[in-house]
Amino acid sequence: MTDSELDAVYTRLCKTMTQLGENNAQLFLARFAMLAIDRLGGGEVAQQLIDAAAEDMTSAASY
Amino acid sequence: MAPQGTLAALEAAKVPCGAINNLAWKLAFVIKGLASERLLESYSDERVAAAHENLSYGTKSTEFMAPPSFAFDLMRQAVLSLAVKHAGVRSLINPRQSSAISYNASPLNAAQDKSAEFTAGPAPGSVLPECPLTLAGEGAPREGHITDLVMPRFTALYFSEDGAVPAELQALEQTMQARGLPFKVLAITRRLGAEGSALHGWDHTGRLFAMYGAAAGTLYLVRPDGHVLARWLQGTAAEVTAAIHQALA
Repeated sequence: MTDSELDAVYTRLCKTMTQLGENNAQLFLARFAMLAIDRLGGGEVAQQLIDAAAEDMTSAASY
Repeated sequence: MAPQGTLAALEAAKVPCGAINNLAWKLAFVIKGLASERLLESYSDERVAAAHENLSYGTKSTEFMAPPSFAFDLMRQAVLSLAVKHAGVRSLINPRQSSAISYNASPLNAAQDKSAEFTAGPAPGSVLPECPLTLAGEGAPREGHITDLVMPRFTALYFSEDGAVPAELQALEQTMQARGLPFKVLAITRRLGAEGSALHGWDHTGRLFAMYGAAAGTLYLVRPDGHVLARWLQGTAAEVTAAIHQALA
């Protein structure tokens, strides 16, 4: 994926979430995560991504 | 029209510096009588394409700096907290406007069929990908980058083993310079050139040849604003001349 494509996908994700509204955001991201996991194919990669996503949460989620 | 004032006005209007570089060399060549006025038309073709790309970047950039909704704010938190360990998301943080744009569809691009024979490297219209090299041949060898070789002139980068440049290319340099057309042939070499050789870029990391899909004899012709005009796996002086004439005709 090029920087340009990543930009476009990022913006699309943000705009879609904005339209769905804040109350739906968690469910939307959870559904997206499940679809992404399904596409990943291998369980091991998904496990690593779960760990990586959680890794800095304790320090980052101070609010 | 004072050039100083023009530049200030362009900057005030948030014109990307790619546009200024693009316009500057073309104006200079036309004013000096080295190119026809048609060269200026290519400015419009190239920058309209660039503007479309810049606009889409510009939107996202602003949205990242000042999130317009909870969603952009949330995603920004995610990106910022991941960026330290995950290089793949970092490009979302960098300001977009600074990235150079390729003039893939420029009417100036030459010898596209020859360019298609490459398996790597910048195609006509693209800027030179940066790569460290050793600048040697004029004084003590020093560290530099390939873009240090680009000046406001046409530059033919000739890839060679040891810096030897074919006589016909050296002759071409003299012919062009005699016509007042700024043009220089510079060797990119696999080995450090012998003492007393002309300025050349030594690929001391061994990465540059591969990055440019080059072998000994490969030629990249670079415009005064640093974009590739044409490239040949095995180039000749006649082909270089034709590409420059086509661009300036």
